[in-house]
Amino acid sequence: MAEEGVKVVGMWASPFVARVEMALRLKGVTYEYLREDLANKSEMLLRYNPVTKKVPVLVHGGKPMAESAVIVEYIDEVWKDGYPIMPADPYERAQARFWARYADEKCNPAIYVVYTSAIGEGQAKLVHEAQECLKTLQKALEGKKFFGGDAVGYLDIVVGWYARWVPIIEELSATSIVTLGGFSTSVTDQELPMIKAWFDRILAIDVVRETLPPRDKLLPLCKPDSDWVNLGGFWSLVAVGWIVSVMACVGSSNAVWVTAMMTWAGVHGVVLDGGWGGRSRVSSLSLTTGEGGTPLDVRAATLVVGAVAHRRRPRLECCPVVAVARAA
Amino acid sequence: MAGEGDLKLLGLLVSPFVVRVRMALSMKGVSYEYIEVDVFNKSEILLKSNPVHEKVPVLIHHGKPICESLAIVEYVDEVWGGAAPSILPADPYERAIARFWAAYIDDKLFPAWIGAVKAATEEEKAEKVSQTLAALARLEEAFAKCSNGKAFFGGDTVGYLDLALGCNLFWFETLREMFDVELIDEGRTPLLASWAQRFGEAAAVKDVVPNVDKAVEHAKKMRRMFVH
Repeated sequence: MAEEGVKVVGMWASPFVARVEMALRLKGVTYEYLREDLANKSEMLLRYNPVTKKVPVLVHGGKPMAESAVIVEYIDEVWKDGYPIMPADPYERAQARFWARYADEKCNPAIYVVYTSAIGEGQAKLVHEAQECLKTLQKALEGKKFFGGDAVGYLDIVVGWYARWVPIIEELSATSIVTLGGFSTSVTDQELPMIKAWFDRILAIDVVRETLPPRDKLLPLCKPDSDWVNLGGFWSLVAVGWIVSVMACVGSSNAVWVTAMMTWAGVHGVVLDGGWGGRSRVSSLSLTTGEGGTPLDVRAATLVVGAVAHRRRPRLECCPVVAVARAA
Repeated sequence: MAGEGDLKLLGLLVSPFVVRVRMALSMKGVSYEYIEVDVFNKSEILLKSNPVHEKVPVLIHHGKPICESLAIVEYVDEVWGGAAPSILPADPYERAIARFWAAYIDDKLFPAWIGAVKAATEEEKAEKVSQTLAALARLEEAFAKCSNGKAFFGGDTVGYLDLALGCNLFWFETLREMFDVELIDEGRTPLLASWAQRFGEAAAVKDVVPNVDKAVEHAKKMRRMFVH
């Protein structure tokens, strides 16, 4: 078996890395896992994936490749005598590829936006849009136990992470996207029983459970931790020598808006790529305290932050949040 | 070779994604019924066969629709697998690399150049052109690696990645005509420049590339509709 030198470069909380590990484990392939610190990317990662600089990267016999969906197909082709991942029929394969792209292009951002939303009318609309995406995706599931049929297949691997992330997002944003629950009063009472049933079935699969990050580790990561402070009580903490980070969706009106405010306030800012890898749109904006760590105009910084706060009406435990850390 | 009797393609003459599929069908020598769709005024057949995106291309084989141009190209390659030449590379690693770059072309290159076409201001256009050039610089490096000194990304003959990028070339000429901007040029991307020449002359793909005039006309229509 072509198992020599199979390595996965990954990060424990990345759903895209989970896809690759799921595929390898279904095939019974042993691999070396190389942990990557996404805030401090290694030279190895940059060498293996200079184009997107993201995880996962699969290295097989010294040859690196990136893009989780592409990697899963590779795994299926190389270990073709193992567990069948892609459907056998060309039409079904085309459907699987179509839906995988749909999920990544439409469902992922729709779900993510709920995660970063604040309670209110606007949020209900976002929840509805996420539900519409999932309802559409559901067409590929109708009448079957899994997207792959009786057993987990390519599309299950591609979207299986929803089963772990969506309930967490529901809890943190106090919404009901798939699961009807008593999290909040301001949500639609729609639910998606077919998707929910699939969540339960997929989480019962050992390989899936082993590769998805455990809920008790993932939940606190998605929640702001003690370094992250609600914007409301924030601006008194902005001081000389502090770096301010704002989590925003790249390309979203918030990100554009914050950048404009920074320019207006004369605050130095740097946009960094961070987050989950794959086609993530998470980025962070770093407001440095001026060159060489010279004192920042505190008023300017608080103006920016205050303006962001006003725009997004943040609440506890919800993005956008602002992290404050001492400059290194 | 017959398209097994029941093959239709819904398309738009100037869509690079449609052209991509037509190139693949042409390479396989497969015959099909081509149906031009008015994307500004979507027809019943389009809405029925691609209810999710309402976009072209849609390949309808034995009444079953297949959407997403790259998925269609792979389908065509698999169904007409016996018909030389093979579109996807034979080696799994090369396939993974080709698929990676094809996704890159659609996710990074396409939004950049279409953004330039639709740009409302000169600044926006310049920004999009700059993004397009950056993506092409990456593809220049990719060409060096994938081609291994041969004529095409796919080696001696046109392959998957050649189609993925090549279907955009007539639009680069369109942008040159509309905005006087050179996207692939001998100075910056010499390998791509000579590849583009060879690709343009390849028999299988020549006939399905529309006139630049048609693309210019379409671009102007798009700008009238979307740019305020």
